[in-house]
Amino acid sequence: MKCRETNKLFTAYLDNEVTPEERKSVQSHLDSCPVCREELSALSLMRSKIKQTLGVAAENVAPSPRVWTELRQQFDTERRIPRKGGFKPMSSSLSGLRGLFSRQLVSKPLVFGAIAIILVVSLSLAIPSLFGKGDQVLASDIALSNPDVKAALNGQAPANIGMTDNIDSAGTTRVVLTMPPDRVIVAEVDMKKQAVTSVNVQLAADITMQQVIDIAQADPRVEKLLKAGYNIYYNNVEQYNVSLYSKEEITASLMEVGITNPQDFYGFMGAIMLKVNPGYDAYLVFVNESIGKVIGILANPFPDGTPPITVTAINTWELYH
Amino acid sequence: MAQWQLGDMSAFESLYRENEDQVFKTAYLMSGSKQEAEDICQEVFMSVWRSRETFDPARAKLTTWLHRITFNACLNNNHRKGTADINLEGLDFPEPANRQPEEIMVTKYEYEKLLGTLASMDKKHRSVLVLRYFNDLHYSEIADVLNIPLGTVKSRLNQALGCLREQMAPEKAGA
Repeated sequence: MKCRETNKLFTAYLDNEVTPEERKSVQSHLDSCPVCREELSALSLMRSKIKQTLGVAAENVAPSPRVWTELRQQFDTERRIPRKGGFKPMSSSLSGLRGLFSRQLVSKPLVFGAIAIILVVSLSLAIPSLFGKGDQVLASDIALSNPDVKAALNGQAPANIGMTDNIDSAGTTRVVLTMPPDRVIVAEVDMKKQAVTSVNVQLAADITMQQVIDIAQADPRVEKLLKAGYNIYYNNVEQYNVSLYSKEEITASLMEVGITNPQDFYGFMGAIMLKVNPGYDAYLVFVNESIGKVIGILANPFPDGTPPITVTAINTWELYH
Repeated sequence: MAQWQLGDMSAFESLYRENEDQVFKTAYLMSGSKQEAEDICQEVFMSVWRSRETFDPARAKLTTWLHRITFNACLNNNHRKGTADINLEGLDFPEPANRQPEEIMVTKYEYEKLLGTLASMDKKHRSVLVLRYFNDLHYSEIADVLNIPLGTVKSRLNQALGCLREQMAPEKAGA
């Protein structure tokens, strides 16, 4: 065996990971090659040093108690939101709200420390719930028995059925049927006539940032913020992308910043940031595109000084109850 | 099925307590940041909880399964952080007085230099080094955790150690 071939086996040799034949060959070569003996000795020393370095580096670090505390909170949340049959956890990471967004908007960290208060302007809709469980079941039954909805379903069962938690002044509610991987069927149901008045199919590919912005701008609270000098903050429309996240991920992520009402999380969702420029104040506006409304506005969501996030969207298949 | 797999939260907490240190330290060595390591640790145990029913002790050891989830999280970590740079912040090199004489092998200079080289190394090579020389896994276990052939484990370890040796060579070390 030549020096080069022998050298390739040195790491495995030192780690006792060579076959008996390889070990014999290496030893035989070493007996007659002082250069390789020296090389092996140097490699052995390096191996010991990296072992020691890794051991020392990790010696004095330990996770803070918050890791378990937050995990428990998330588990408790999930227990309140039982899994649907057939739901499979996504392989993507549970990375918190910040992970749902790319962080390219602001290069310099904004100092939220001075503000350091999480002010939840609205965690849920300020509309009184006129909609009992029975109404929800009824609306869902009306939608599912409609021929147009059946045609849109094309023989498939929806992964989730969600709906607005109220009937508007015209007596209409919306039933949202999620059809992975890329469709949401929205049926408007006239609860007085107990009939479907329209059926729309939303495709992930068709969603634009402008839709999110339009829905947000129509909200009186957002309008007020815009009048007060806040700007809608995003890089460009191309930044907008639809990604697939699991119900647990979205729920946990939004809970991380204080939005705790998972009933609103279904269909397609988006978010924009309102910010005074220059300034440190920021608001995150969460929009459910499938039902065309703002589901929550959060002020100063990152009081720990973390740079705010850029605008993107969340596709919340699986999000319903 | 173990109790934790059946959804027993106190059993799951025991599992967490037994393994949090190892998962966290591994994530720390891979990410270089305590904050990131905590996030990864949380992500790992969330994945463990969610996929608890899929774990089959007849097919894999719990530690191997945990390593696999941990490294998946570490290797997928870039999309979240937006940078692959390792930053082993605030590391204290124990002074010789606080260490056993037989332990004193790597100097503070070498330690910092080695960490710097480790930080600049790509995650594929860093992974095999951490799994072998920190987690003490056999090559076949590393192959299983990273889902790569045994030969790739060997070549990556060779390359990684070679890279460290090159960086620590006397002319580069300035000695």
